[in-house]
Amino acid sequence: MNWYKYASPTSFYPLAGKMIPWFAIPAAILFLLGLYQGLFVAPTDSQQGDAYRIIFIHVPAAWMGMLLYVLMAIYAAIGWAFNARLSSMMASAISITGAMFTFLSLVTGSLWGKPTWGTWWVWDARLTSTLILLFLYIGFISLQASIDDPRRADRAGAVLAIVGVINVPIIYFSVQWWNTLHQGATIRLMGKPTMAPPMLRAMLIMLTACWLYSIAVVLIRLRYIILEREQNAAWAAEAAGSPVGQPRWGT
Amino acid sequence: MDWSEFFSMGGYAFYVWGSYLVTLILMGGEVVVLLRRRKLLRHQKRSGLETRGKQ
Repeated sequence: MNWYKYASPTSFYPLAGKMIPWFAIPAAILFLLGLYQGLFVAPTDSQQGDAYRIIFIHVPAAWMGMLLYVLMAIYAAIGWAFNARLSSMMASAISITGAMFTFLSLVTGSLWGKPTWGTWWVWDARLTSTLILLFLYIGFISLQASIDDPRRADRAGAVLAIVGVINVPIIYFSVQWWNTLHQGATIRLMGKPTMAPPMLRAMLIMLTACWLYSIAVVLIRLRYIILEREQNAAWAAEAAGSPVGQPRWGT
Repeated sequence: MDWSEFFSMGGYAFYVWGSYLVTLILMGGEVVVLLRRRKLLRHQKRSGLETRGKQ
């Protein structure tokens, strides 16, 4: 099987279409399962009462915000370094979903902070660096939107995305490096989680659901980006024979 | 199971349900926007073909 074939947007387009239901349907099932586990099965927390149930969306949203940023930067970098258009399109497709999850983590965090800390917002390391993450996403999206030539937009976006990656470990370790109001990690990359099993199960189900959701949504958006850009390419091929200076979009 | 107790979320109803509502709006909204984009694109394609046909 020739894998390079799928590096071309036009041949990846139908493949992406076939992949979407395989992620979208399990995502929907896992969301329902996770909500059931999180709202009905998981017991009330002894310290935070039922307010802790925000964790089941807040933590997955925060993780997705960070992971999608790294993924976006990797795709943008590959697209830039190897001149791979599909890879750059993938970075653009990821950016919106990443920004959505980052915004969601800030809002749900705020709704959690009010009853547990007594404040909607504090300028501490974790919260501030997450806000910067949101600004990086917004910067990436608006930078790309402001440049007409898609390949130039890809390159400019790639530079911003790559430089911004430094912010992700800062967010992750901020609760260890600085004194902060934000509680420590409940799931650690190494070592045991500090959560009761039914709570942990609900969170992991929701995290998996968010992953599958992200893949499905990003693939759908990627297909639109491919269509839109390839339309332009077809137009460009058509227009190549026509006189210079003709308006781009006709009448 | 006591539903009024469930919906009161131990007094944290506003925060808990508020969070879940925002999640529904944002994620559901993303899906809706994407599905509408499909319609828009189809429309553009059609009108694009029409203008090309006239030329």
